[in-house]
Amino acid sequence: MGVQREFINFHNRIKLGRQDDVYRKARERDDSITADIKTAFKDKGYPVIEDFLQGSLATDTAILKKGGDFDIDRSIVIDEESAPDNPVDPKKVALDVLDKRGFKNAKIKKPCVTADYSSENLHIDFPIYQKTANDRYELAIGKRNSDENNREWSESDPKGLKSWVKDNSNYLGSPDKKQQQFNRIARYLKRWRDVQFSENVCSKIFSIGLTVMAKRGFVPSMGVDGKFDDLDATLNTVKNIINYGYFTPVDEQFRVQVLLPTAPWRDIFDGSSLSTGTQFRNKLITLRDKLIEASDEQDVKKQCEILNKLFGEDFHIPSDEKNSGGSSKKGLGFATAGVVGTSQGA
Amino acid sequence: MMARHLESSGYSVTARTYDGVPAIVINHSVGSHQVVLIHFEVSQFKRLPVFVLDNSASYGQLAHLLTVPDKTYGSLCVSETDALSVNYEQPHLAIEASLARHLDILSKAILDPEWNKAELLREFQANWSFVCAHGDQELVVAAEEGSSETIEIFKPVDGAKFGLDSKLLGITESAHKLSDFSYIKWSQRRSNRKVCNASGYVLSVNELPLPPTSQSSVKAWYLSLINTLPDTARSQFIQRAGSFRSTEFWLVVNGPSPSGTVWFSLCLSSSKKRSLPFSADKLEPWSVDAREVVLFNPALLMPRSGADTGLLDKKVLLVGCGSVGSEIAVKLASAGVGNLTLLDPDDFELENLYRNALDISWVGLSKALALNYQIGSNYPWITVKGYTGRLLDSRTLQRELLTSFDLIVIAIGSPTQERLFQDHLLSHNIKTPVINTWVEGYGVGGHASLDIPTSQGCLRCAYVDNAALTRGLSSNLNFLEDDQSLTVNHAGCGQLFLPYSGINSAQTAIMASDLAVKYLRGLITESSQVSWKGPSADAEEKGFQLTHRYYCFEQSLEIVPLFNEYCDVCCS
Repeated sequence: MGVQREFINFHNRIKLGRQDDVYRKARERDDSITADIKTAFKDKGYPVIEDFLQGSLATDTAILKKGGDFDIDRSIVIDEESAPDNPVDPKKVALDVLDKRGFKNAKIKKPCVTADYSSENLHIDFPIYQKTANDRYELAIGKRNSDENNREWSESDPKGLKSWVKDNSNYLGSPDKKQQQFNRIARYLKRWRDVQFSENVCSKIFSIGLTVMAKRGFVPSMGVDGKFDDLDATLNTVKNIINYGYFTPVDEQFRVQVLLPTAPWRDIFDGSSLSTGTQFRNKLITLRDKLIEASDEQDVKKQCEILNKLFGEDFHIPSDEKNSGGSSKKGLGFATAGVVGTSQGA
Repeated sequence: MMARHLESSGYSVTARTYDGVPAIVINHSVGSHQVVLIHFEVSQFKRLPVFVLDNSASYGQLAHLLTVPDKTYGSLCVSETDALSVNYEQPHLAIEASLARHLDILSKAILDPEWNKAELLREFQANWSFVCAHGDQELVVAAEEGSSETIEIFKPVDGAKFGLDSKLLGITESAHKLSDFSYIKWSQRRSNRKVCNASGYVLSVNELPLPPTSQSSVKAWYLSLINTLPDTARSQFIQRAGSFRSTEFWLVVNGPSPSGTVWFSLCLSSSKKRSLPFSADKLEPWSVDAREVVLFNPALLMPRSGADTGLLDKKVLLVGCGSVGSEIAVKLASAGVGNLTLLDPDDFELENLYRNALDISWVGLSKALALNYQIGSNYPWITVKGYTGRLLDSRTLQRELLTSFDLIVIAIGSPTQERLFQDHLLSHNIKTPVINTWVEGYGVGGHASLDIPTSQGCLRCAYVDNAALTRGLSSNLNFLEDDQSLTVNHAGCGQLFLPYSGINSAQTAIMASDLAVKYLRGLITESSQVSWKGPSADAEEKGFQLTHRYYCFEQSLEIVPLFNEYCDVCCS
């Protein structure tokens, strides 16, 4: 039995989807707050014309965080015609809603309104957009007290970014399954980040940055027989990330720079320190080398020992190689779909 | 140019006319003989250049030498000429090579009497054919064992101009293994064939004499054949065959030759009823003709036409007689499988016409029954049973019945029922191997999996979801992605169908049949899978997605292991 089963089990432990049970309360909270914001915006004369998820839940790359924290990235869209000139105004309305809902540390950040709901381990981000006549989105930029020079409706493309991450058109054959493999690799890398970096640095290795880097570097790894090799795919993705040119040497240290693939095309790590860039690069190189070591290893248990150190305790080490196949001995999980249309005829 | 070339190669060559035709004449020494070979010039070599042997009668009975009526020369049979690729662009080289072959075979025939005799016997059938009276009615004989026995002879069907109906039919006592629907059995039942006045007898000899050299020598040859029989065999033959009186006797003879058992016949006819003659004086009023025999005999007919007699005792249950299944039924029958049980719930309809092995005359009849009749009539030694029913109906059958089959072939294109059936086999500890086969839409390919319960690998191996490592609902062998609207609707609900051609289904069937036969012959002992891949143009034009396997697949028709290491059934 190969290490792929352990990767899949690891993935099943760390993945987070909006419909997951564990996410139920956060989802309910999201729905409820969104409804309140819609009411408040309507009262202010700029009704919400659209709302959608962005972030990792929208791109199927969300993971359960250490400590069980959940993120919500809910985009709120109002029409340009009714939107106030001052982009901070609707952010204040949203902040007011969050305050009233009991969020203690709700605040207006430059790109969004954010708050934590500590009793439910919930972190919430509400970016607010206006939609222009030509169906383009502009993000409300500015803090509570930003002056005219520091606030604007700034061109943005949240849906384009989501589509870019989810784009599978370059994967020849079984594109959906190959995109699912990408989703897994992105999740592995996020968990690696959470395990390998101190809390302080970890928060500066942005998820969207890792996701964009992974997407650009991802090469599906699937055998002729349709079997996936996530170890190989992760290794190749990491190699490609290291070699892509994201890290620029500066005085024996490195600056990390990753441009958004869609508007506003900004550097995701803008303002990031050399220390962060250097650590990021060094740990990616260590990750690559350890993945090579795991790849060269024949014994599944030894492979898992290496991977456990990289990805943390959720990557289990089987007691011995035979037991690794034990999950199969207990029976494969049943298919999750109720019905699948096939191409089989006779 | 050719003559000059042969001369420069050391041959004694004369270019002259022979029988009024321009010819190249070769004089050559073979032992003490000075042989003369003649090549009649032709405008182009469409086959191996031919040489005839002048004064052929002077050499006695030579292997591969056939006399030409009314000519002093005989023709030499050198090889299966159509199989040779002749250099017609360099005819001087072609004629030199041909001459060398002619001289080689002639030298062996003249100088090596043992070789000559063995070759004459090896070529007995061809030599016999040469002395046969052509144009007379052929005798078709159903004789399975070849031992000495009587033959009941039936007249041709009145007015029949072609087909077996136009031939005399002889049925021996040993022809009892024939299919109920075989032509022979039907002929016995039908009233349009009348029993002949002729008597027939199969004579099996342990040693064949050399064949006769001309039609005029056949009568004497008959006597020598009888006289050279061992005493016991001769007296038994005289006792049995001599008890009949008739105006016509058909003596169907078989005997061993270096190329296997040969069968031929002699037709003795007289103006009035007499007993079969065994001496020269009794033979006087009889005319004796050499005749060829068309034999209904599994040991001869099956290998000659590509079937394996070793499969006659195999029992196969085939479920599904649609586009793939009907072709499999035919292919298994043509391979020689002796016992075929067919199961299908549907009737044969016009809408099935272009992708089913059944012909139009069966419209409206159960597919399984129609195939039963069609196959049974076409393949003489098969036992076919056709039943109307579904795969899952067979779950109610007694375990012993399902275990009595050597192989179960399922061609229904229903992944749900196939998995349910496998569950049934597993839960009842039924170890009969199963082939599941299906064709995919739009000509992208077809697949077959062979599940041998005593080996690693099973149907579920082909259903492991390799992405999620769970049990899957569709086969991981497929070339088209799941959950696409692949079917076409012509007339509302119930009229949905998956587009693929008769060639696609037949190709799948041939592949699955090959897998089945290889298993039945013991050539495959491990659970296996095999696929063929077709072009993707039609599927892509419709916007359908293909699987990664499709794009990577380069093993069309290659039989490879089925086992999937993540299959929980195999690893439990």
